[in-house]
Amino acid sequence: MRDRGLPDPNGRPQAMDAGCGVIECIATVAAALVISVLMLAGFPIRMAGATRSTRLKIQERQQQAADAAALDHGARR
Amino acid sequence: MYQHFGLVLMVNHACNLRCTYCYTGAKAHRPMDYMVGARAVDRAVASLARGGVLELGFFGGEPLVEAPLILDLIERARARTACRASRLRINVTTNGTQTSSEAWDVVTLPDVDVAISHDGLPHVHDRHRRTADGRATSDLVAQTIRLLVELRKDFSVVMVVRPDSVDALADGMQYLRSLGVTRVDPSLDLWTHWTREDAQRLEAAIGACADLWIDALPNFSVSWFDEKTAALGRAPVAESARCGFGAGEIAVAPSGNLYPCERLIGEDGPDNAMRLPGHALAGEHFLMRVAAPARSDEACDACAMASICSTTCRCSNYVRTGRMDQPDGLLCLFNQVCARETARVLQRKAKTLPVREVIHAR
Repeated sequence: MRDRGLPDPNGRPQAMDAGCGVIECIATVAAALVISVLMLAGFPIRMAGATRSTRLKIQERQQQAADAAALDHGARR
Repeated sequence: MYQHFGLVLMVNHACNLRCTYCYTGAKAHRPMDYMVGARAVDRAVASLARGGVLELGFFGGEPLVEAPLILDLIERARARTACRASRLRINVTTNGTQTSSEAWDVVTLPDVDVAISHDGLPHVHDRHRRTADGRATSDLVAQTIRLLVELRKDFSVVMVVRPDSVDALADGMQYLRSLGVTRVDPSLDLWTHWTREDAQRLEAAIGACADLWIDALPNFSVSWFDEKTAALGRAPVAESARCGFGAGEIAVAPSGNLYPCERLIGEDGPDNAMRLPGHALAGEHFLMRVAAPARSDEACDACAMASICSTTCRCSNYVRTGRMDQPDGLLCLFNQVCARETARVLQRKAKTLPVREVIHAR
């Protein structure tokens, strides 16, 4: 698996480089917005253990992100 | 005192199935005595801060062979948590083959989170999950799933993922979707050997499942990707007692012996090194326990995705390496691929998502 950048399943853990796609995703504003908008659209965040109060907090944050996305979308048009 | 306390009661070692990959040992009829369970509930509630949450789980063997006991213990837990202004969350993991009225009473309680084990495609499920006399069970479990869907009961399905089933994982998820399942929790078989070739097929299967998941959102939930998405999106998820591993989470064997996680009880034999000191009947609470060491590996310390990795599960680490703080290459690979594939499909979605329409639809 090493030639694919992944650890040997019977070996030791192997650090992932900071330049990998995952980290780029974290850093990409668009991806973060998508995550937020997906959640707003009903993404089942309860699987991540969110309580009702946490969901409300998330919804508030998502609304802000969605508003920003809508503004961005409008600006691009 | 804990804000969250996890108590898992293994109510019997017995099970009507003989799943070939089961890690809980011999299926002897060794039921938990009511007072063992009741005292464990009392001690767990006494370990909670006022207003805290008791996360009460029932495990086996097959827990629903003890459905009347479970109903009694739920009643006890409700009374005790109400007295302390605490909240109660209940979960049951079942093989989905118990059809007694008491078993249905348990799984249809509105506040019980039910997880049913089904491995996906019928022939994949029936390869390993058969009754003690060798009969296939996929049809019976599918019937249970259909009934729960008809009853609009919220539940999840646990799919065991093994080298001999990994190629059929995505098709298995599609099959479960066709039955009406909306939440899937795939679970890697950590007790078996995974070769490099197996790991490559696991990588491909995770990718296929991620595509399925993103296309089915928001109506289909797969825990592997849900959790990574929440981590990638920095969603402020709620606290849980899960993985307290002895400090804030206790598993109790039918004998009353204590363990840090239900997956480590096995046959509860005298040589089980994971048994904790003490007994369910001896003591007033479950405080004063120290958490086991967390993950410690140089590669993990240097890893860019350490903060979104679940190799902090001491139980999984122990199963794989014999050390609670030491994950192995399989766990590392699994986490990296899940994170990478989650990021990939989210970015694909980002290019197509009609942001304005989604917002207006809400």
